[in-house]
Amino acid sequence: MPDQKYSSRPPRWAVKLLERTCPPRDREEVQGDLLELYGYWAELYGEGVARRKYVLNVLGLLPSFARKNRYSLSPKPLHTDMLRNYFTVAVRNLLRRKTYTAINVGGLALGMTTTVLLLLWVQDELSFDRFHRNGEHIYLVVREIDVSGNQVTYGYAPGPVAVAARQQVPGVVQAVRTIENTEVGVLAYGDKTFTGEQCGYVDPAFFTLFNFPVVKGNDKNPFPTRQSIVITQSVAARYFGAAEPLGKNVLVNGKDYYTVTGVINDIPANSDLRFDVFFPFEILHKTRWKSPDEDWGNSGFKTYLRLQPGTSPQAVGQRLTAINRANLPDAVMASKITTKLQPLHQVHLYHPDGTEAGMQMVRIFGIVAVVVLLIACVNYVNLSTAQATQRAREVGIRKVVGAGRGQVFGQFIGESALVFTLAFLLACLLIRLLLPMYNELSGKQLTLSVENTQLFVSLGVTLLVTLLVAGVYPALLLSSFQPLHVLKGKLVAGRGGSSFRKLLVTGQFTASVVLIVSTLIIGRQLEYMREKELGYQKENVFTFWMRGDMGKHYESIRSELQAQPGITGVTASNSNMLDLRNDTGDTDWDGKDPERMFSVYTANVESDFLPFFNLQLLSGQGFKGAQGDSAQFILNETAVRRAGITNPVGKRFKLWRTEGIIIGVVRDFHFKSMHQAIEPMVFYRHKGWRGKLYIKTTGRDAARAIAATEKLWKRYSPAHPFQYSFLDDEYDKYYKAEQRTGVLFRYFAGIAIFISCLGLYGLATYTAQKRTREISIRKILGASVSVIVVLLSREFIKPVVIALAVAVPLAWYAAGEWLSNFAYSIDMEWWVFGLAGALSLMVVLFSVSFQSIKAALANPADSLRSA
Amino acid sequence: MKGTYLGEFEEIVLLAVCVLHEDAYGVSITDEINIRTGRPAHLSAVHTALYRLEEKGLVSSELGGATQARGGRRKRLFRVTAAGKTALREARELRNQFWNRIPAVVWEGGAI
Repeated sequence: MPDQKYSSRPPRWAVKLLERTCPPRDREEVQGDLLELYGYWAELYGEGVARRKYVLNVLGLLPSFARKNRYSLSPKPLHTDMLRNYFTVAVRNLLRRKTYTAINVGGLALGMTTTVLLLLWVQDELSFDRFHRNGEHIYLVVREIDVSGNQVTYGYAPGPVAVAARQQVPGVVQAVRTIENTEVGVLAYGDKTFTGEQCGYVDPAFFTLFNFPVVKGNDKNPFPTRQSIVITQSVAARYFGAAEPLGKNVLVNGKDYYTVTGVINDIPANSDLRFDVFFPFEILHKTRWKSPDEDWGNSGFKTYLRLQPGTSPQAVGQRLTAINRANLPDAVMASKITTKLQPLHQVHLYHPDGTEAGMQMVRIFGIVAVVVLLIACVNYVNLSTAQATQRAREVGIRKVVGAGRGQVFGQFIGESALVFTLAFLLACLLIRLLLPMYNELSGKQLTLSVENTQLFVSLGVTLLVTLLVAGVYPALLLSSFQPLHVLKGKLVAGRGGSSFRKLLVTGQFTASVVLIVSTLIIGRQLEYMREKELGYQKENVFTFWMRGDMGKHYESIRSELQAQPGITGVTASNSNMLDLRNDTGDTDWDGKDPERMFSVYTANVESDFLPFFNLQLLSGQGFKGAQGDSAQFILNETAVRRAGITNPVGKRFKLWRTEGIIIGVVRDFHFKSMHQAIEPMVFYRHKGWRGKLYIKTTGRDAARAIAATEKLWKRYSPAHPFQYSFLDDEYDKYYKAEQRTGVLFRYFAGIAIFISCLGLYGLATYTAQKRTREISIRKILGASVSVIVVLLSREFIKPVVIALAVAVPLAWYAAGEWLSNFAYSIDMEWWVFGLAGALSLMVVLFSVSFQSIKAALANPADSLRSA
Repeated sequence: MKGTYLGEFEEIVLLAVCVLHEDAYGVSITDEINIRTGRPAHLSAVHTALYRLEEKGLVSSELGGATQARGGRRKRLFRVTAAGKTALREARELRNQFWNRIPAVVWEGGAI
């Protein structure tokens, strides 16, 4: 062929491909040949055709198609033929047994979905306040107080602790105090008003100690004056839209203007330091009767310290304890207080004393995640080993033809991997669909983002581990068959195999029963907390904090409201009945042991407060005379007991600087969360501020009563929007987190049980199929349907009964541990366990009997004839 | 067995190598086959056949004869070996034996 001049070039990628793939020995000549042909084609047919032909030829020359590798034993280095065969066989098997495939894939997908959702929850809980730059060096100051031999730890400290830490304790880089600003009711900008913002007072170093950089404004000096505020970006967007927030004046409570001097990024959802609007801490120097820099007696501040790396938190704690003792006026009290530091990342999940708070639920959910996945794996193992006999011939033939055990093992591991991959894909889909609902249920904002590498790594590990756990055993079993035996049909279907399956079913149901019992107990405890008699009537009472001038006109408001037909009572106090916060150690009484630490919650109330709430007096009488008569105290039972006062009525009692006598003892009632035991408390009357108004209605007339109240609100406090809440709603809110976990737990336990039943259903189907002929012959010989159903169900009842026996003590122990967290908890009653047992037996019978009855009802002639 | 048996396509390629004598390489052989048999042979198929023949020892090869049209790359020039000639001869012999044993009547009888 004559040499052709070539003007165009073949496609570059094809040239590269050839270069890359052609064996080096032939590369030069092949490249040359093709180039020559290309020139020839280009001349003959044109460039387009030539390029196409060139590409076709390059593809034709790919090494696996052209020269065979003379060094490899197999014609294809990756044994692709064999792989294809494995794949075909696997797909055929999956398609042939659609029920089992559905159970396996569906169960595993459900299990994986549950696990991922639970892990997301766990991960979110564990991530709280872990994103701060110097997070490992930040600590919360907590104080352990010895109350008559009991150690109680609070996460609050007096104001001067931060000042002392900054100035006198080596190793403390920064110290910041925060406290909620509850006085703010309404913020206004222009004609827009906003309520419900989380407001707080913070020291200026707040934004640098934590990772909340000031994106607009000066982070060295975020509050240039006392009239400054710092806001988050979303607040800025809501108030000012796209306009520049810095320098804008916001009206607070309709009285004072504050200038926005800083904007920070929104505080992430996984932080407990959630404020929207920050006020300078300095304001408190002015508004409190004693500056928080000097007042050692009042401890309401969350105090955070950043330590120099390498500083021992214990040493800092000891130093602070000493400083506290040197400064506290009451030496006895001071000696009972120990200051400690709690690492910031523990604050969310642990109590200040280091015991588990939310951590317990995190752990429980983590365990449930693993258990649910294991249950799904058990299904897979059971169904694939049960069906192993059906694959025995295949294994035999493969081995006879030359497959080694390793290859057969690989084949079955591969099949498991296929099923798991299918399940995984389905799970991904499910998670996508369920995530919004799950977020609503859990009250979180979880996302499955690509950046969440930690989760994906743990997912991958989960997948691998489950594959190992669930895939290895069946593969080992299947690859162990002896070809001679299976081909002669002498395979002993494995007594050992079937008892192993029973063992797994037992384990599975043990987990299920424990979950059922836990669900019941958690549900009952939550219900108990919601319904428990608090010791007073909280029904049909609505309440609000009085704003504007309402407090000044309390008497007229009260008489006007009481004139309303639907309203049966009006009273007020200085505190929230559901959550008393003011406590003091500044008390005295006749015969007080000076060594005794006595702390008491206080409530300043109207004279009619006790009858209003139906609080019962055990002895003595209620408040008498005018509100101004502050010399009367009513103690609760616990206070009397803790103080050690006998025959308290008429005894002298001193609260702060007010001397008086104890006029009555009230029966204990709950004024704190149900987690806490009832503490000592005292009712007193004082002229001081009583801003919390309580209005009781007949229930039917609640709407009218609220309308009437709103009218009064508008008259005395027009600047504020009317806000109220019903006491029982508010009470429920305290337990919202628990209710949520309760509901979540119920769902997950339900899923776990469902997956277990899926597995049993599969096994029952398999047994019924395997014994079709036996059943037919029994029927022909005269067995009744019920006999056969019992026969088929019996083998499943036994493992479940054993599971019950194992599960009950386990559940007893676990539930006991959980309940011990509550100061007031239900007793564990036997019927809970009975119910759980009956429930699990019922679902087992249901899932098994469906197949048994079907098998028992079938016409024996059909199965025998077809045989 | 494997070493001596010649496939039909292999035989044609081998014959083409003989025909082209000193100028037998991928492109010329493909060309020759295309022209003589009228059936489209792909370069890749020819290469495969040539390599196989070389493995069987029926052809030998050497590099040489770079041209500009080949981007300066050398050709692999194939030459038939003694074994190749024997194989061709044997194949032809085999056919001839069959030919010789066909009764004349086959060609004359037409349809029965």
